[in-house]
Amino acid sequence: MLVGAANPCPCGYLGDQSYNCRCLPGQIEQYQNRIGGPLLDRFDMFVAVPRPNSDRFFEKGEMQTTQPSSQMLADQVSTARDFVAKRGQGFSRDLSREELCDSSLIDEKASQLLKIAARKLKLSGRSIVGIMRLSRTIADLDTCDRVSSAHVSEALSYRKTWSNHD
Amino acid sequence: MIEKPKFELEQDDASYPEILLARECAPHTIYGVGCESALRPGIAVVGARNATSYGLRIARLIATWAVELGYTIYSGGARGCDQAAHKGAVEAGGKTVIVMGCGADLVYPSRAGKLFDAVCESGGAIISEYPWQMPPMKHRFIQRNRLIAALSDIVIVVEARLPSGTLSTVQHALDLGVPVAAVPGSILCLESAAPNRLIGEGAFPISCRDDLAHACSVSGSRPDVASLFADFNRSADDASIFEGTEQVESNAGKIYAACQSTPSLPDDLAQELNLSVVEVVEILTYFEVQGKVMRRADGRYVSEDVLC
Repeated sequence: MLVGAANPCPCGYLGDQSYNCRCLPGQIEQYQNRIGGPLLDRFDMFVAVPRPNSDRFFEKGEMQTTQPSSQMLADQVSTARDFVAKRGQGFSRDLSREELCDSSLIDEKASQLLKIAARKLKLSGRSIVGIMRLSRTIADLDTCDRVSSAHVSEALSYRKTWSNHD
Repeated sequence: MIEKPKFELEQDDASYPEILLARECAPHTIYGVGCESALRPGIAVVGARNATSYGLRIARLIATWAVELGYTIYSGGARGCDQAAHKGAVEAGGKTVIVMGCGADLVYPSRAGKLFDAVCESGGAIISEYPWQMPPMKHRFIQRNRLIAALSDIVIVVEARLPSGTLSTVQHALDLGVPVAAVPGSILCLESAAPNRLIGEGAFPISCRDDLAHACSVSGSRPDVASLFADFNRSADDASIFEGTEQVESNAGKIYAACQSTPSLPDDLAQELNLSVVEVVEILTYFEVQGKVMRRADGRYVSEDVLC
């Protein structure tokens, strides 16, 4: 698995809650375009990571957060793996396009949403399949046999937000 | 680029803007592209290039209002508020004039080609006091701001930080005796610092269509309090018969409304509306696919109608 990290803009404050980004729109575009579209297209998920509240670093013991703990996430992953084993067709990365499209694995509304999204958001072939796989993984975490439109829309929301080639 | 008609107006030409003749700074010749008939009485809508979505939306809205009141919209064609104002005027079926700090036959900023075409096609014009092909230079833009102020019945400041180049237009307006109006904004928003300050110093505050009409001295009198309440009651009635009431009540309606008022992160929306992030994201994705909202580079969703 490839995981990367990048600042959203030269100053790093684009989208920050309490600091104003001082970059000009052109600078942001230029900065984001330094990574080519074809390379970015190969990343399935883009997640914004806001600056944490600095006060939390000075608290005693575990940091207080509303997010699930690593242990909870690990449990969720192992539940999902068990579910995939029970489901029988294998992990989403091993499924072919035909299998991903099969109506036993995705419901009608979800396929419809995917079709519209692919056209309207001008998705590449690679990213359509990427979104299908990601939707499948999200459904597995949800222990659902069939991918629903909620899973597809969550997968779509992880698409790149960068300004390349739009 | 489409070939557009060019014109040159001398001071003794019939179509030379009358308002300029009364000003000390009337340029000897106005060079223009498009329709010289667009050079009618009008208002200037000015603001920063790096505007917030509020600023862009307001610039567009004010241009729409002013068109309905029969005015031409004058602005500088720059990115941000200027372009939003020109665009609003074109969309409202009105005339708008881009006043350039370089030759009127140049497309500057270069990305605005489409807008320039749209302005000319809708009966507007691109004008300059500089001769054809004069390259853009910084000092000419400050001089250009004076022409914007001189052409206008009133200068409306939409958004600008302090200090800002936009204020040079205001200074010229004050020097020429042109009234200045400003659109109030949040005191926490740096982009509203200049208009808020100007209001404090006596600029007309523009917070509704009637304010604009009043500032332009079209309506003559300010609405009295009783009529304001009548308006309020009427709009409450309108809301109850609005066919999409159900949808406005629904989460989708709330989410869309939030994206209209300010660009929003799904996480914040979920927290504000007491929904799960997944629910919010599902609705936003539907809107995105339908082209109603778009996701900006910083991950915030914003309704399409505020984008310029």
